[in-house]
Amino acid sequence: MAKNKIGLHFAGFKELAAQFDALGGDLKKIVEKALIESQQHVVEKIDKSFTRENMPAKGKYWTGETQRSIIRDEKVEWTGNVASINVGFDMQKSGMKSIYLIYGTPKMSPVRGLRASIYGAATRKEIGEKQQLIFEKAIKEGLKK
Amino acid sequence: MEDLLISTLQGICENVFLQGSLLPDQSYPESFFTFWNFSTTENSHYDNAEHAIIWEYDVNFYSSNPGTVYEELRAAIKALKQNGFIITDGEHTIASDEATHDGRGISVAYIERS
Repeated sequence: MAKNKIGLHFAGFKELAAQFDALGGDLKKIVEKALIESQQHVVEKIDKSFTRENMPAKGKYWTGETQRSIIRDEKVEWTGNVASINVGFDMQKSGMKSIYLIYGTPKMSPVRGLRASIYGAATRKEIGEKQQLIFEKAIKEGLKK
Repeated sequence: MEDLLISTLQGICENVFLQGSLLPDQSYPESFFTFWNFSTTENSHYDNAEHAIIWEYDVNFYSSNPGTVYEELRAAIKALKQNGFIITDGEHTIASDEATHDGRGISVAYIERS
């Protein structure tokens, strides 16, 4: 749960990848670029949720430890031909704290916007659009050569 | 949309609360659901018009009876599916403030088409 993986998320990926490959492009490099920018997008959204006002008890117990556990490693993992990247929080660093902040408890509201930053439909859509643009731009540049 | 979610859950257990809404000194009921609307996304496909809204919720069930936690949450999954909700994240353990209670949760989505 804390280590949530994302891959390539847009319709028509196979067609665009085939076009890019046919142009002699470095498919591995462009896939990794798309995934790293996806992780950066999630990090930006999570960071925006981390304001004192948005934290339990208005940030009275803020240490910054959970924010420091946001995954920002830009490390793409390959399993055969399938690439993915981790997003969210590193549980080994944050422990249960990130879970409390994401899901809340019956007596503590979740941190607004945090859950949606990682798992929401809007984030998935934005990531898909970002990935698609990266591929389309790379193909356009390939056609100019 | 929350009306439908709440009424569906109340068909299984009458105690349904917004996550985080119990007071610090309030005792947990024996069993109860909580929910949280974590995302509402307008989905536009053509003519720049809004054609669907995706409502996403976390749904949690807490009980002092560990066996009930599993049974009632599965009953909720069945009832929510029957009422048009999609289960987007399967059963998982959820944190409880009280050592007397166990909690398990799911995530659901509802696509409201206009």
